[in-house]
Amino acid sequence: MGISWLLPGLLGLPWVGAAVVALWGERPRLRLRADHLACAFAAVSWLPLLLMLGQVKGSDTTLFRAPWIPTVGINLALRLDALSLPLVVNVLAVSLLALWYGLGYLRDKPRLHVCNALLLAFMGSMLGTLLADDALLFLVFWEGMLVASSLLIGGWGEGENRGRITLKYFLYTQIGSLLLLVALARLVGLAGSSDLSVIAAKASELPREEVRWIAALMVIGFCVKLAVFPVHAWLPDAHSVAPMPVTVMLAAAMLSMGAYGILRFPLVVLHGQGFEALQLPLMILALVSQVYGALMALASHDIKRIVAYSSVSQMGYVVFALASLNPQGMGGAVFHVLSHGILKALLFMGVGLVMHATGRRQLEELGGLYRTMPGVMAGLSIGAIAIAGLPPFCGFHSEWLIFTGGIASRYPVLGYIEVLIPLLTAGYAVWFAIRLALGTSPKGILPHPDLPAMSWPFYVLVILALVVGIFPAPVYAWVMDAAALLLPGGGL
Amino acid sequence: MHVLDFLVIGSVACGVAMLFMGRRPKMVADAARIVSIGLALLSLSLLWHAGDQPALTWHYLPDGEPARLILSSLGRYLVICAFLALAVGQMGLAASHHNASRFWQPGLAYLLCGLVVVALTVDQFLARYIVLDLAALGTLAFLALGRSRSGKGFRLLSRLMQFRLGDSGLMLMILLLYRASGTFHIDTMLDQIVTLPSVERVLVVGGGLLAVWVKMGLPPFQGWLADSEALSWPERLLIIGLGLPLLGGYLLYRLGPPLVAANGRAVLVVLGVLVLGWSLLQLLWNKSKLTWLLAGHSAIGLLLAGTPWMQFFLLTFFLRLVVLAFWSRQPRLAAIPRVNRGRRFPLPIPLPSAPPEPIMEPANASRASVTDPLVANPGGRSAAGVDASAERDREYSDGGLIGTLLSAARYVAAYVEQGAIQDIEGGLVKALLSASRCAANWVEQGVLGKAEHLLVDLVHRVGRWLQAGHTGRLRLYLLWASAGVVVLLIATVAVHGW
Repeated sequence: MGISWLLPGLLGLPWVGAAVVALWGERPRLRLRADHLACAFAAVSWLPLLLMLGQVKGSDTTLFRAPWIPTVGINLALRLDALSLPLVVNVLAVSLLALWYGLGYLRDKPRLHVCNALLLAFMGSMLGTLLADDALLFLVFWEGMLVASSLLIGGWGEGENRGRITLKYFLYTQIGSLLLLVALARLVGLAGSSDLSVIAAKASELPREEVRWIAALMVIGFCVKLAVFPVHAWLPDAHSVAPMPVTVMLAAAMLSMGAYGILRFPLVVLHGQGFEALQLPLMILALVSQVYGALMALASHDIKRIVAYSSVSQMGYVVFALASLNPQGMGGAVFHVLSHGILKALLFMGVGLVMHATGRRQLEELGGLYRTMPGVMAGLSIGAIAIAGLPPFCGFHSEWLIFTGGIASRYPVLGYIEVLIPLLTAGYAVWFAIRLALGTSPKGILPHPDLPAMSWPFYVLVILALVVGIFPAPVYAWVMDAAALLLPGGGL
Repeated sequence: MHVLDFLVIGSVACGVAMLFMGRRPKMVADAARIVSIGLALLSLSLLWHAGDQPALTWHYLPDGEPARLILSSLGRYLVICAFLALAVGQMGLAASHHNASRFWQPGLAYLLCGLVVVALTVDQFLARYIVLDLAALGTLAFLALGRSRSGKGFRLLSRLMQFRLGDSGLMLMILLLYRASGTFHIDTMLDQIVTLPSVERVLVVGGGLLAVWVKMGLPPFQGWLADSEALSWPERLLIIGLGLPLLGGYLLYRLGPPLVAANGRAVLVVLGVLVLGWSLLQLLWNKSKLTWLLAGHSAIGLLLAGTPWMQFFLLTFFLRLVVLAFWSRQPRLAAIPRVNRGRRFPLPIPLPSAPPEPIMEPANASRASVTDPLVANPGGRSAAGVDASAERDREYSDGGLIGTLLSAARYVAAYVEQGAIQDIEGGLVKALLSASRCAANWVEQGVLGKAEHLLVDLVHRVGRWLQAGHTGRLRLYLLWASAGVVVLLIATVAVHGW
């Protein structure tokens, strides 16, 4: 048993927090507001993970099993291994910082306790998705993410069209979920169990033709969540309408669930069967997605939308790395998910600070902000430079691994093209920062002072981007452990 | 502690300290001048230290070989050249600036110097790439924070993308050589060039030359050198005398022998002659004399690459310092070198004054107002009164590649995102609505309605039949049948019991 009982603790704390915060009410009790309490729960959720951290090294795994629906043999099966660990850390960090940021950004919103409870539920759903070792449990948490995020966008979104956009977001991602449901249902039917360990053990005995179809359906379903072109249309709308803490969680944490899904199911559980056939289409699609997202970011004028479109481009990097099917690429994908988490949260928070300070979000209505907001502009510039893959920031290392993987893949020509993509990234990201920071300030800009609750998490992310860039060795070790799980002979 | 350690750590530490002390410009300027002279004098002691044991050693990546600073016999002269440039530049900065708005200059110059020295001495290619990138960022910072000039933002982006292009070439080279050699050690990697398949060899050589081209500011990448003409002479000396051209020259020196071994000598000579000729022509009629003088000088490097004379070429970088120090005329703020205006490179796509009208239906108008400023703000004039279209025109008229990229991005936005994708979405919604109407008409009113009608009719018929039976002969038949069933039941119970 060991310390595996900590796994339900890690998963349960956000859900308990959501219930407590929802019941806490809108008014402060014991001098404690609901959003502070939510923040505290997000912080406490780190404890079980910190206690387990030493147990998850290399191929070591922490497992938890408890009966859930015994009549059909479905267990509450949880697993923390080298693959899920970096992403769990990402979800915990992003959620904590988003809730912290929300202390300032959401403080005047109505029904704050419900909003924070849903944020915790969203966090809990993401953790559940990462920890689930049972197909049904995975689907439950996968849909939980969608429900919680839809409620947050619909309930607390900005703009008159939030209802329509919430529906669009829901329908798009639900289509992906349905494909996933079909694939998992068939897989469970073939394997005779919903336990992922059992399915993985029987994977090589399953009919190859069916496994190929199952893998294809799964990949398409996960690509919807990754917002890869052409199934990306939900992302810019949802990200630009959602309140900023939700946008941060959507962009920096939830998008990576798609990458995790591809890593866990077609690559680990099915041992890559059926994925080789998808390698070339996926690599090409990833390149198109990178170029398309970058062009759209260049063409956009809404600062939130620019950062949102960059996610389409950045997720293209992740898909390209996954499709390269070698340890460097896999490691690069996981590293890029982490880098993207840090940098996207940083950029969105910076954009939120600009929007809060100026009340504007159109690029033409902004400029010359380095005079009035030097710290925020410096941070945003660092974020832009880092996402362009320039050293000494975290984005450089993930892109290095992705390029190495691309060139070592079966299609090195695509790897050579991939090396040129950061040019476009530099184009839109740095252009965005330059337009905000330099130039003349348009008339009428009188920035409000920053709220510490909003600016502190932003600066924490700036430091994190730099620290991971300068001392990348621990993250390299993590992601290479994760990649080792995907090598032949590894896996569950 | 090796002298090189002291010089690197000293310059980086001084740079960081001066950036933090920025609000005391007088003190910073004086300290920067004195320390830089001290470091320059100390760097002279390197003349006796070449070929020593490695200086700083650090593990950057897990399980990778360490990166070490090793001083070669030529490297020591270049390091001395860098520190001399720093000292001269700091003296110039101290003489010309004591104001708070330029507090960052001395610190940034020290950081740049530290990076250059590391780039000149580190024996690991990935570490060198990183340091070269940082030096490029430092150069951009000088260009960004230097004297303001209209359209600076756009020009900066253009320069950054040029630098990134060079970086991509270098990255490609490193990736391919790393795959072939399995190490980042520069000498081992470069030895692999001749063993590579021909396609990869071309990519490696091309990537390396591209990196050299951008860093040395050879045409058509001389734009950043031309931009530096608007800076004050100490700033110019620091970024040209100390920065990327020196590193580009050293990279060419390292690449030269493997390039020649890979039968690249003729290519280098042809390129060198072309660039030299072009630079000489430009010197005659272009106003950016310094830019073309430096480009011509770098072209000589191309001609000499791979020969023993290349070492002497690198030593002429001392001469560059002298030229840069004496080329101290006032910056021409309004003058933009002709080659950078993009006049002779018109955009391939004719640019509209306003973005094309999106293909939209009235029902979609409300969503477009939130989701796309292109639609929400078709005239380009914002609420704040900034004339966006004028801004856009200025951007487009400013550069070839970037302008094309931006226009391409806007066309994609207008025709794919606002056009095709929204059409598809709209079409899907319409199809859904039509399907629902069809369902209502066909299933609800057609199939189900008819079925309901039939059912009602059947019930009526059965009812009428039963009613007729109840009042007619059928009742008798039913009574007799019932009596028969009762008799059968009694008989069954009698035989089998309950």
